[in-house]
Amino acid sequence: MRYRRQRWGASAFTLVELLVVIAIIGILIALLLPAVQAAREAARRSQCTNNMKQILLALHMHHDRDKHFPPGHYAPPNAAVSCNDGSEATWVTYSLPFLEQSAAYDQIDWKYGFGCGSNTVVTTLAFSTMNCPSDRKPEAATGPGTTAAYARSNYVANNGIGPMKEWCMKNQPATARPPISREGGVFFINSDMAIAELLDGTSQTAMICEIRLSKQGDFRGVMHYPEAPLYHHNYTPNSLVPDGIRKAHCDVGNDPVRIPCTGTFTAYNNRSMTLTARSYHPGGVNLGLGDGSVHFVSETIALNVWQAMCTPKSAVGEVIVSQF
Amino acid sequence: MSSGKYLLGCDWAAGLLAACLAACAGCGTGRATVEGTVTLDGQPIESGSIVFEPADGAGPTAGGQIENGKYRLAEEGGVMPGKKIVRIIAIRATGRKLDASMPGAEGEGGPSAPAQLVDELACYIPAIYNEKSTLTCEVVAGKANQHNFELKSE
Repeated sequence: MRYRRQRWGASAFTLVELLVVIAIIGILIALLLPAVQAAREAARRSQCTNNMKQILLALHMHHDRDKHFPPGHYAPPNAAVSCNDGSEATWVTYSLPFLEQSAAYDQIDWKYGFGCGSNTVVTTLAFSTMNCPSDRKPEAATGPGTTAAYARSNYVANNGIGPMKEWCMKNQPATARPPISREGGVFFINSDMAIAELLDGTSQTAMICEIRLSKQGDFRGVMHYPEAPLYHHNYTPNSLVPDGIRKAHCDVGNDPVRIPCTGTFTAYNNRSMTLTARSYHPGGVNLGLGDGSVHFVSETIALNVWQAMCTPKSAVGEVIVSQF
Repeated sequence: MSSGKYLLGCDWAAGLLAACLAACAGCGTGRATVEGTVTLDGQPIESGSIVFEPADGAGPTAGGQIENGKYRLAEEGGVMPGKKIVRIIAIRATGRKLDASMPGAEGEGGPSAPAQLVDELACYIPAIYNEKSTLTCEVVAGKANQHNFELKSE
């Protein structure tokens, strides 16, 4: 009796008891951490979706003003030289006034182009609406042979089935440009697609999707140059088939597995570019459709559905929305 | 008696830990590992891309890089099981040069900019292995698939 009283009266933990408690707390934290991380990613994805909505809204406001969506990228007809007359502006450039970047847009000197190191105020300007917080904060790209820095964006526009081969040709009339042999796409060279041209319905046509950004000289995602703010529907989202980009601009940075690339051309006048939609969200990418809605598309989406979504016209038996 | 009680506590913790690990190991994606070699006329393809597309279009694509004639698609880059169309792309310089001079904006060089020669690149794998591919293979779930491709330029 006395022994017992002494034992239970002792007001101290043994070392083993303490260790067991610490182990149990450790296990509970280990169970909780993934949930916290998942909640943080869900918040980032939500912000990413919101940014995409703003961009779709900007495209629609452009449509309200001009009765068509902005061109994927612009080559002035009959340009005497390829560096002038707003040459190589992109859909992002034309969307700036509708993304509350009128001040930047007003700085553009339309006498010059965007690929020759002019209009640097605009090309170097990064703004948060164009970046998905699930990707790391990108620094501007500085390519070999260019003096200007080019700010990057995670949001890219539907250029159909790649490769993209268009360019502006100096001293050549517009008709001398290589023909667009690609299928699909809402944004391409000098495009002026109107809602009425999305024949299979705005809710069945992809407009904006995401890509993963690399760093330094890698040009993927650059906003104001034709070789960047576009993507293709050749491969399903998050596929690790290497992107085909300009050889000097292929830099996988510190993530060679998730942002693979290979050099498929060397200069603006032999372009052959293919970019795959990718994101750092687990399991898929955000996709903005022509009706302004944003959907999360699984990376296991069927290839035929994914390819059907890039066409503004309906293919035979094209049934899409029910499938993702 | 009391030491037995502690042991029981540790067992319970260890059991929970084991259950956690088992749950994590079970979160696979259903993708199978595919690896092998790719040669053109017996020579390994130094650097290129390989693509596995579902033959019926009803599934995602997978693919990756070929390095020194070898490729390996595993984990998140693995291939969903089923019949696949395989496309193999490899690019190299043709030896020809192109003029990529960009006559600068006014005052930056003018319309008579000097010629700036760049390499012309092209895919040197015949179209029957990429654009109009006739290569197919069967990817089986739950095992490492070995698929070697011996291409011929004729």
